[in-house]
Amino acid sequence: MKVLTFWDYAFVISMVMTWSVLLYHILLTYFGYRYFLISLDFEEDEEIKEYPFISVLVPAHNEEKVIGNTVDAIARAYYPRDKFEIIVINDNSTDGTGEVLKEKQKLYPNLKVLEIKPPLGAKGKSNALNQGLKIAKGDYILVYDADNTPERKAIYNLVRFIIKDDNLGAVVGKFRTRNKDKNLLTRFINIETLSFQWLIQASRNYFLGLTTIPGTNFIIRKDLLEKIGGWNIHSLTEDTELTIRIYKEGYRIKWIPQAVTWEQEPERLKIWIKQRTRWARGNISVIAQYLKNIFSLRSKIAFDIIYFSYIYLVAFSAILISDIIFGLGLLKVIKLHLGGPLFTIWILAYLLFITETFISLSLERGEGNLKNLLLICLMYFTYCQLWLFVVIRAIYFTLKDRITGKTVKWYKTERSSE
Amino acid sequence: MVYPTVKKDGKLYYLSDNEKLSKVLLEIENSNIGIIQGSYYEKNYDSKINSDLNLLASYGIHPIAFKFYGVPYKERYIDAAKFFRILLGDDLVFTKRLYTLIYPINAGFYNPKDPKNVNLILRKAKDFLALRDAILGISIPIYLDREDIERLILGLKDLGYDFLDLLKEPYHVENNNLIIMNKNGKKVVVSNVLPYSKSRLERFFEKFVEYLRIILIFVVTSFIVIILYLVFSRIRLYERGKRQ
Repeated sequence: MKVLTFWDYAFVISMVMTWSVLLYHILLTYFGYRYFLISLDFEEDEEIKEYPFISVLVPAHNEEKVIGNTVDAIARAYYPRDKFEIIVINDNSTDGTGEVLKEKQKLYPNLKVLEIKPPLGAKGKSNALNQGLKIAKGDYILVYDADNTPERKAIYNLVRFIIKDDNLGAVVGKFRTRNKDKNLLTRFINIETLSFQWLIQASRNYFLGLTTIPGTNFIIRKDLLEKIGGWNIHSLTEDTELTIRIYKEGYRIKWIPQAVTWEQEPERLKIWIKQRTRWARGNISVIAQYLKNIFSLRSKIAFDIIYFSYIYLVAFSAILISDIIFGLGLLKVIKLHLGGPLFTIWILAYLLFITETFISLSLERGEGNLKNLLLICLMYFTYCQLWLFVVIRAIYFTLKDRITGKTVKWYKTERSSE
Repeated sequence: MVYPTVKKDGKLYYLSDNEKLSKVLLEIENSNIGIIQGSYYEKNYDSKINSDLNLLASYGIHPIAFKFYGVPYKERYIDAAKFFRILLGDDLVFTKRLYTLIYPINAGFYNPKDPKNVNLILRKAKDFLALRDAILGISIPIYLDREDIERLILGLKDLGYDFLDLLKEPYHVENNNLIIMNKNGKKVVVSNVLPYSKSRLERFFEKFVEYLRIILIFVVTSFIVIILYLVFSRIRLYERGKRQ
């Protein structure tokens, strides 16, 4: 008689786990599309009657290549000059960042440069932001990474939304890839960032009323930020961690596609792996931290934490198991006894990935083209598989740090060019 | 002739791995065509024959004879004879040993790659006519060319051969769970073998995959519709967004 083996059971478990996530993503795709239709009607006509004073924080560590453009873009924002200050926190830079900023101060009187050196500085992005927060005069705090080029109306749109809803703790804008045409990697990143924002950010905003702060291009109430103690300097992904603390205070966060910033993405695989590993490590740490207290969180946040923990710990493990089974099957080391139209399912899964991703691109002007469609087809076998490697690497480092008791230090993503 | 389990590249494949084949075999069985069991050699050959016999019976397939794979050792005959009265081996002549009947596959097997194959079999058949009451056995695979089989049958008839229907022979198959026998020209089966049923996991997985396929076809089609809508109305949509 036919005997089912360990691999048959492993295969069924991995299939069920993977598909439970993918089926949820089908819903998210649809919700992202719905949010797109709704967002088209976000009114922009109504001018802000009373512009609040705002502080734009830009942490910078050795950013001489990019900081000039970032300051220029922020300073030329569609917002009254006397109603905002730009605070660049020059965090222990050893390159020409300070000189570039001095030149820019001559052009922009509302530009403040906060120089921090050890022991106060060189402690990562969160620390730099906390230092900036101390001297910020605005009622609202905006954050931009040093490689960002916000569009003219980005700041205006972020302010517009936060001031009209007291329940909003923060408003998050959209980020786009400035160097998307540089090489294949940046083209993939462009597709990934758009998919993430429409399929994860917009859809969760529509479905759960939840959005994750991405670390740049967002506005937050200063009093709220002070109440929750600013940024957590021990977190690798200070943005995700901050998000949960805002929700715990009972506030909401909104994602709006009208506030756009363009940022530089890694152009080399090595840098990409390093950056994504940091993100994954940070997110795993946040998940681990809040998973312990899951019952103390509001139901929607708890659901979101469970979803992310499922993605990182369960779905990726399931994909890894099914990849191993697939590989061993190809090598004829193992044979599954379970039958069914598995090839058809695989083809449909592939088509699902392509259509889901292409929907998110079609929501952006100029991105839903044939070239990107072909890139998505290729992405499934290349870029997406790299994520598996990144997550395994992140889990390995996280476990290693836990065992050795090592404290994780925030590290900046290396810039490739101006 | 059916091999209920097959070892290929070190892996064991079961009849249940090929649902279509098991259905075809059942149809053959129900059409009153005799099925012969074959089993590859293994260390415990008798228990292998026994389990294969049970496996076939669980699908409702009841073989009437057993065929060896290639030239068997004497011990193989003993193993097979524990269960089957009629055996088919690469012997030269028909043999009756005590209760067991051993039919010879002495004219070889049809090789479709060799166009002269039919001629070779017919020549062998002619040579065997030198023996009185010769019994000729040929192994014909399912991929035999129609014209070739016609030539073969007519050729054998021209030589004066008659065809022997194993279903009319005194076959008897028996193990602890099963008896298959020819009783007055009728096939009688007494079986305690439970019909093959899929495990819970198999049933769950089949349903899961079935529903998943339906859901995915629906979802992918819907998403394609959304994409087409976005593509064809993008200008209108973007203008609407820009207007704000």
